[in-house]
Amino acid sequence: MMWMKLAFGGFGRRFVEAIAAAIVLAVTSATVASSLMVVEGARRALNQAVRQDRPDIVQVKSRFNRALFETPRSGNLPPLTIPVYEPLIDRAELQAAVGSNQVVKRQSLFRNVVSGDSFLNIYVFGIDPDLEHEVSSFSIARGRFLSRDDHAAAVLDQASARALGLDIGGAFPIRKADGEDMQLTIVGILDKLELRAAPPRSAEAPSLNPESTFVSSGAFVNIRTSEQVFGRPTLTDALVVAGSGSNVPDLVTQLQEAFRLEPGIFVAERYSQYQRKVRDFVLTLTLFSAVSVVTVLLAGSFASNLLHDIYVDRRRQYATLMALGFSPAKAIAPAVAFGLVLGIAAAVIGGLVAGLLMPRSFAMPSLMADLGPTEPTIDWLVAASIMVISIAAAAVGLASTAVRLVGQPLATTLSEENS
Amino acid sequence: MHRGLLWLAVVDLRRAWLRPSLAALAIALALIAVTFFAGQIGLRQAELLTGYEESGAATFIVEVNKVSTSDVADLVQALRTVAGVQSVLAPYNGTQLGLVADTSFVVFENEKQQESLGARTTALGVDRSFDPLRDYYVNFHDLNSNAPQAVLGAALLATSGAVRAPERNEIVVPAGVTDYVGVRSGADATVDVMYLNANPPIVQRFEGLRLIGTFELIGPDQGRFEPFWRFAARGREVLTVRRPDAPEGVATSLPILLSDELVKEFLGHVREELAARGTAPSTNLTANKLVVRAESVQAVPSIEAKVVSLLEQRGLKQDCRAVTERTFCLRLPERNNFEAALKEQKKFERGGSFFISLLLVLVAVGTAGLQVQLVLARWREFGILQAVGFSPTQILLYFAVRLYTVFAVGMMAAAAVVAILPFERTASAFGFAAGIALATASVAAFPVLLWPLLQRPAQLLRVSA
Repeated sequence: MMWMKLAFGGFGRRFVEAIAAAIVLAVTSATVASSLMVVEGARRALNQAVRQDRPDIVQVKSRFNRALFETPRSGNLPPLTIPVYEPLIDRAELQAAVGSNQVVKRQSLFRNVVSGDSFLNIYVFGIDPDLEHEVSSFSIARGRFLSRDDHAAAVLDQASARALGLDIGGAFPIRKADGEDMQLTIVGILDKLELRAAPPRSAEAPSLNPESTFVSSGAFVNIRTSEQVFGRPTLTDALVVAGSGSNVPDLVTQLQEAFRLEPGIFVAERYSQYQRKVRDFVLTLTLFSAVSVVTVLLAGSFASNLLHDIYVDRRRQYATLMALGFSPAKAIAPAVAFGLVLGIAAAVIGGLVAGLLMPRSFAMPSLMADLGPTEPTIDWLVAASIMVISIAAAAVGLASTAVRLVGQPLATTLSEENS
Repeated sequence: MHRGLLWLAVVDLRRAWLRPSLAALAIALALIAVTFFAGQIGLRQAELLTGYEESGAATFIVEVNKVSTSDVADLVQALRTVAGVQSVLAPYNGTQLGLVADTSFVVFENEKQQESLGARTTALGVDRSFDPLRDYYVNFHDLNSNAPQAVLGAALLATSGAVRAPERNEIVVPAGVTDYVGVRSGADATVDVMYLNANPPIVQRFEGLRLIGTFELIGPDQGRFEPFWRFAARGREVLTVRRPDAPEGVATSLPILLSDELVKEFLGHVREELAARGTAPSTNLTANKLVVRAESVQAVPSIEAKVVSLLEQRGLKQDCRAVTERTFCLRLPERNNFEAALKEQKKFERGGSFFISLLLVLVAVGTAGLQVQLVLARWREFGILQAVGFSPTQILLYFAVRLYTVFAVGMMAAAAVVAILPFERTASAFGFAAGIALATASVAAFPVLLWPLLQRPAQLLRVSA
């Protein structure tokens, strides 16, 4: 009880100063926490951009043609528009252009699968199973994924499998370019699929994500099988994975040079956009770090100054304790306890204010034009930062008093007058 | 104010220059930050509203019933004179009138035969005030009677040529159709416009319409059209091949753009043909959906009120259900409308406002803290000044001079820096920042200064002695 009174009792008018110091520290904490939350949100947005945009990937795609009549050489299929990329990309030319960079080859097809007296539109993707896994995401619900050695094997998404009424081990016919049917055996069923740089969806087909404007379903076969169906080795699209992001501009130049005479082939990269996002992040980091540092330096030092006044006012009390036989550490303990309680309370209140009142979405047009709105996020680093700042402010306020108490003779301290 | 007090304030500030200087610096930095955030909010609001306005958020639809073609034209003219209205038009919308258009282009021709490729879409007859980006609206109830009565704006984005209201002999076609056929601007189109609400449908052919541009439709139909192939031998049409499952009626909101004169001419032909058959049209053959665009998003509510008043003056009753009497109904476009724009605007200003609030609280608390420090340090002086004859108001003024001098120095420093720094700012944003910071600082400082002044001088002198 005595220690409580020593730490928190008898402030008199200085109590108002203590409250002012606590509020200044709390608002400082809230400002710093909010700034760090924005920075943290921007950092997460940038990381998400790295994961989602994959700036190291360059897409090479043929002209998208959604209005070609499919005219099978035999059979009784009605004419239909086939929304796919045209197969214009020559593999050897592509490989020569990209050098040692990895190429994820694709053949995208669109076919009618005839069953009984009805038919179903289905997207067919010829992929390199091992490499495609590194850029796209496939979640196998049943069975297994494709392998390079498979022949006439397919992995279907759940929606397409359901529409076809098939499961693992079942087979469905796909019309080949020569007019013959090829039976594809289902070896796996997908329940989730994120195909990187999927073609736009503009024809009715079973879909895992009906809201998506991009194809989110289909039958996946290895590229050897798709070549047999397509009847040609040329690719419809391909993803080139650059060794590092900085290689992308050179790689794009090489690809544009290689395909300069083919107007139907386009090279798309996300690296430039990613670079703009990085610049946005740097600007955000700079601005809000500056806000934090300036706030800490000015408001934090002001709070320290207020606390300093309080400690100076009580210096004789601490000196009296030392004169009564308390060790310097014990004599100064009430001051430390007071500073800690005040600092921690301010940090907690400031953190709560920032956490509860900070808007869920933060956008600044000239700062985050490419990064877009971010979601301010509080994490342990933000919490630790405001705690350290508040405690440091209290410690700085106490420093001069502590040094005086330890460094100068007790008699001198006891003979000092209060402010 | 007493000169002595003024002198005292100046001397006081000069003697203890460090703390006031730091306070001025803090105020200057806070003002710069508040100006920056306020500028960003203003920029964001302007950017957002411009974007919304460009995509038609300042537009609303007025549906009129049982109003003749000439009355609609009068209404359009009257509405155009309303202050704050940017444009009013009454397009002939095929989805509402039950019109489709088979647009075809010759792709092969010799002396014996001719092959054409084409597509069935709906048709839109527009006048010169039509803006392709924001004046095409579809009510999906017209396409599907089970769908709710809701209008949706569909932007027509230019992809080639001139996408504008065509002249009588011109046409603008969806890019998907021209890609499918393989034609470019300058090609001659043949258009069979059809009125499908009659049996057999009424058809009129318009030949030699020059293709002036192509567009992409941004809407729920994703540019869907029904392609066909047509074969003619020795000048006679022999065969038209369509998908077997191609729908008969108006199945898409994807239009071709025709001049309103041409569509008016066709509708005249439909009326004559129906009269000859002795039947009445099942739908009103007038352009009964007026597209009204206000000058700004904020002006929409007031323009709506003026439009309602004008239509009521003309004897129309506001009723969205009745179709048998002279009524009108105001419909806001789904998703992209002024309400969404204003809501979105509020959402994005919250971040900047939050930081402005924090900084202002910091300025207020900092000022109050500074005054607390000053008051406690000068506790006895409050008593002495009162004892020698200064009134509490004069003492308050003395401290106000000190505070506002510091504030003025900070404000001038901030103004100088804001003028130099390369960020979006306006004088009004700085004025707002300075004004609100001054107000909050004053409000925070005043109670602190009152604290000693509310006590008796003797008490002040005794306590600090």
